[in-house]
Formats: sequence, structure tokens, C-alpha cells
Amino acid sequence: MATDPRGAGRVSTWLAAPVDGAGLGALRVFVGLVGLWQSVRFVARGWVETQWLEPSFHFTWAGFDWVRPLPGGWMFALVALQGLAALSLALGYRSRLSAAVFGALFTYGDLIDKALYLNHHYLLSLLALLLAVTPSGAAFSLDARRRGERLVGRGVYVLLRAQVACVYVFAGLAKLNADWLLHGEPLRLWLQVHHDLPVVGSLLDTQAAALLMSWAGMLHDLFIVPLLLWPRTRRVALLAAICFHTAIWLLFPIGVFSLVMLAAITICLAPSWPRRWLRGAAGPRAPLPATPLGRTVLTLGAAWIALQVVLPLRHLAYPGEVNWTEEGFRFAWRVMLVEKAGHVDFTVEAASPPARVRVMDTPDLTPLQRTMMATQPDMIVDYAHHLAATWRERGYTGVRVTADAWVSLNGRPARRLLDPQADLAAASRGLASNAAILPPDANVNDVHTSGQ
Amino acid sequence: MRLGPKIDYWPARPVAIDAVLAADGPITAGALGAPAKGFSAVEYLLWGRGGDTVAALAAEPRRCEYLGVVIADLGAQVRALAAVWDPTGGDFLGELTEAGERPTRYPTLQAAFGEVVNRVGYLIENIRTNKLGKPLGVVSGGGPQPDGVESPFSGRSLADLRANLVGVRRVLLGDGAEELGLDGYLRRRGRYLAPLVTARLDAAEAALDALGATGLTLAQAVQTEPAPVQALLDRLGELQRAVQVDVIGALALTVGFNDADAD
Repeated sequence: MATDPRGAGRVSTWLAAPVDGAGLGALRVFVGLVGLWQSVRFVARGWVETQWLEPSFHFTWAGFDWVRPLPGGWMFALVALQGLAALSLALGYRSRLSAAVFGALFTYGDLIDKALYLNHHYLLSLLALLLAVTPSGAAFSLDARRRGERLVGRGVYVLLRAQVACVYVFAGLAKLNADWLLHGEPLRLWLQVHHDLPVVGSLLDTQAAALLMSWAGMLHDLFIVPLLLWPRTRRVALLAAICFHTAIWLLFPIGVFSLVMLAAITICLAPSWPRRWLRGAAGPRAPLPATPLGRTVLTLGAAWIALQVVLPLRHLAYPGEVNWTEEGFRFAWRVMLVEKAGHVDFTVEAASPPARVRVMDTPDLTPLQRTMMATQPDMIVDYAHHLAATWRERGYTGVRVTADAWVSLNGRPARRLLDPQADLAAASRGLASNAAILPPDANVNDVHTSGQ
Repeated sequence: MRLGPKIDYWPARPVAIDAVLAADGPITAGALGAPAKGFSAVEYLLWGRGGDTVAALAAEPRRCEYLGVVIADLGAQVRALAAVWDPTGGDFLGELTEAGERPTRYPTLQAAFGEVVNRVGYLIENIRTNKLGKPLGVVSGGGPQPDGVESPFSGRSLADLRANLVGVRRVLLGDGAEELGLDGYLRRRGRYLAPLVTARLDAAEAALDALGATGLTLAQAVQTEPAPVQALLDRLGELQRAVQVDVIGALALTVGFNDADAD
């Protein structure tokens, strides 16, 4: 099929049209400040030790097994450098370089262990990367003070808005399920925690409140970006987003999640929005001529957006319900969707010399690692590989590892997660579906647990 | 403060205790390592030789002196433990019950609650792994290890297990009072897990009864009649699953990244 070069040219010219870089600058400042805050929290809360240095075993990512924590003080130095880069990003000093350094170090920290995966950490990494490849220092930066403020191509906003839209839209689509919309789970479970709050506690501890908040959350996620982009609904949408994220921050233990999201949505406001708040911060008066974007830039931008669409949809290529199997769960904006608890025992058998042991405790794992592993099949496989490797190092051959794994999803009774006969030491750590995962109705606790 | 090993270090190390008995110098609690004092040392000093314990003590003044030192130290450690919990002392009780209302080590009552329930799960795991699995040989894979049972000299291993289960039952189901215990809280939240937890506890206790009915001590059973020990291990596994999966899942008490990060 022939393409329309004139159409492509028009798109390219439209994307290259110069617009105010103030909104981009504000996003850069916010991302830098959140990154700085998170760096400080990592040190202040002792996470450098407890999450990186103390564990003797890490759940590494397939293909990134070489990513390991640096020894001792070097991890602190790395976090300090990460914090400095975040500060530099916020100030706009060598903005793109700062974004690249912060993004690389922050991503490195998260790559060390799967147990540390958080959606808002992933988003911070993506935003840092995008700020590194866009003229993020065009406004409100030391760079701009040195070189003068510049306009930026409209395409920069399109790219970043598409990224933010992916987050919200896929988060909203993921909420279109019976648990969320019909049962109000897992919000019902989480809201019950606040039953003892004065005045609102009794309200929060109701099915109606859980359903109301579930539907509100779903609608918020699905429509907040278009409502922010449309000037006529922008004010109301912004107010709704602030209320929504503040409520989440107050009610649930989500750390800087709300801050990251509130920072991200500012890119959906009018490009010059910060100037309303900063008197005298007039933008550059002489717009640059609009040079159409090159094919390479267009292709890269389109590929990035396509990737961000495909990744959250990849779970469709796996059998089973993603909230149960977790195959395709990460990097897909499936935010606050599940409450899981799990328990897993391993059995290790060797053919030669003949041996069989049960692994009922895992002292080499932190409480977080144990908890994360118990509900996530790929991490159970990772640990099975670790056990098998340990036994092979001790001279055993023909090593098999099986798991007796049970999980509760959104308050339901425990169900068996994996085929207890499957040899997990032989299971792939790659992208292939894990055939050992059982459907959630395969094996249920046999004692009545609901109703009274 | 790590009072646990000072009070109940086990398995006992007779070698460490015998070394103290064989020495000449004065016996002071401060000079004794954890393996040479606490409940295990008291048990070994009283029952370790078998036969007529009182006569043995009368015949061995140093053994008697050692016992006095260890019991006095044990009393001091237990009082220290009580003081840690006492509202007029360390008030760890308040750390749990007033979490969220004032600065404590737990930022919210939910976090404190989660700690208690998770500890019940860890207790059951400890019973399975250390009190049964290791002596039975299923953890190490090297055959039975009867010396690894708890309270081997007094033959109280099964009684210790029963005491553990009594504690688990009281925390989970209360002590017969309607609203005490975890079950009362669960019921008020509309999560009625008592049938499951009760069934699992009953099954574990029945397995313990069956083991006791063999007339063997645990140390003997792991060597000569392992099947009822294995059955108890399995029932405890089901109980642990009920606590760590069903109960924790129903109350959203899962341990997070920390007290303030998840999504």
C-alpha cells in the first residue's frame, strides 16, 4: 500500500510546531523532586541495606542476571549520585544528561530484584528516559537561564502525553473485571482496614463504599487524560485528579505513587500553564521556525508509543487470567488490582546420590522477597532454579524441584497455584508461559469459609 | 534486646553444659553463653543424667550450684521480658495496640496487627521446620536426628508442641470469649474463617494426639515410627496455609515493600 507523503509531511510539520516548553519544564522539575525525595527515603528508611545489601539472594530479571548490587558503601554512593542527578534534573542543570544519569541509576536499583518492582518506579524510569531524549531544559532551568528559554516541538508533548495516557487508560481497562466492578475487591479489603476511623470509618467499611470507589477509580483512569486535554473540562478534571490521588495517598500505603502520578498528569495541561502561576516568567517571544521532524525521529516516537501499547496487552498472549497467573502483569499498569497472600513449600529431589528434602522455610529471603515470591509463579520458578543450582554445586545430579504453592486472591479461599508434580527446575525463566500454573478453580480449600 | 536465645536456646548443647560442670572456677551467669543457660540448661541439669535426679543433684554440689545460677538468671531474663511488654515498663503491648495513635515502631494498627498474625504463621513454620522437620530428617535429608528435638531430656517434646498449639488457638480463636481472638475481628469484618481455622487446628491437635497415643517420645518416634510425625507435619502445613494464605489474605495483612510503598 502506498503511503501519502503529503499526509506524513503534514503530521511531521504539525508535530514540529513550536509550543511553550514551560509545561515540559514543570514536569522535569516535578520528576526531579520526586526522584530526589525517593532517593532520600531509600537511605533514611534503611532500604539500601534491607533491600539491596542484606539479601544473599536476589530475584534477578531474565536477561539481566548480571545486574547485582554494588558492595557496601558503593550502593550508598550510587544512591547519593542518583539523588544529586535528580536534584540537578529539578534545577535544570544539564537537564538531559541529569535525566539520563538519574534514570539509569534508578532503573539499575529496580533491576536488582524483581521483588522491588513497583509500577510508579517503572513510570519514573520511563519519564526520566523521555526527559533525557527531549529538550527538557527548554524552560525553568539553569540551562535556559544560560542559553535563553526555547520553544519545543509539539511532538514532545504528544509523546509524553501518550505515555501518561497509556498509564491511565491501561490502568482503567485492567479494572474492567468482575472483582473490581461487581465485588468492589480488592478495595473492599483495603477500606475495611480503616473501619476504626472516626466518622468516616463506618462508611468506608461498607460494600457500597468499595463499589463506589471502584467505579470512580475505573472511570477516573479511563477518562482523566482526555478530560485533562480538553480545555473545557480541564479544571474540573485537574481537581478530580488531585482529589483522587490525595484520597489514595491518605487511604492506602502507596508511598510516592500519588506524587509521581500528579507530576505526570501536568504534561496534559496547556503547555504554558506554569506561567499563570509564575508572574514575570514570560516565554520566548520569537518562535523558532517549524522544521518538520525527520523520519527517524517520527519512527522512534511511533515505535515507543507502539511498545507502550503492546506491553500492557501482552498478557492476552498467555493463557489464563492475568491477575492469577501474573504472566504479563508487570510493565502493564495493572495498578492496585489484586490483594494476594500466598505460601509455598518446596521439595528438592536428587537422583544421585539419592536425596529428598522439604524446604519449609527460606531464611535467605527477606520478608518482602518471601511475600512477593509466594504469589508470583515466575519468582517461585526463580527460587526453584536457585535451589537446584545450590544442590548441583554440592555434587547432586538429576535434581528436581517441585512446589506446594497456595494463593488467596482478593480475599478468596486459598487455591493451589502450581502443579505440585511439575519440575520447576526445568521450567523456563524466559517469556514462555509456565505450564505448571493451574487455573484458580483447580484446587480449593475444602472447608466452608464464607457466610456465617 | 534478643532475650529469646537467653531464655530458650535450643536444641540444647550438652557439651557446653558439661564443660561448665567439669570446670573448677565459680559459675556466673554473665560468663555463660546462651547454649549453657536458659530452659535447655535447666532441663539438662535436671534430667540429663536420667535416673534419680534429686539424688544426682545431692551427689554433685557443682551441678546444684550451676542449676541455682541458671534458674536465677532465667528468672531475671523472664522478668526482663515481662517488663518489655508491661505498660509501666517497655510497653511493647502499647506499641502494638496504640500503633497509629502515637509514634510506635508500627505506623498503623494494621501494620501491628499484621505483625501479630504473621508471627503466628512463623511460629507454625518454626514448629514444622525445626521441631519436627529437622528431627524427622525431611529438612536436611540425612535421616532422623532425634537429638534435634526440643526438650529431649525431660521427654516434653510433644507437650511443648501442644503448648504452642494452645497459643495459636488462643490468638486465632480466642479463649472462649465471644469477641476475643482474631476470629471475633474477622467476623465483624464479614470474613468468617472460624470453620477453616478450627478445622485445621483440630486436625493438627488430632494428629498430635495420635502421635502421643503411640506411647513414644518424639525422639523415639522419628526413629521408629515416623508416619504419625509426618502426618502431624502435614496437618501443621495445612494450618500454616490457613493462617498465611486465608487469614492474611482475608485481612489484607500481606507484608509490603515496606510500611509505605506498594501499588
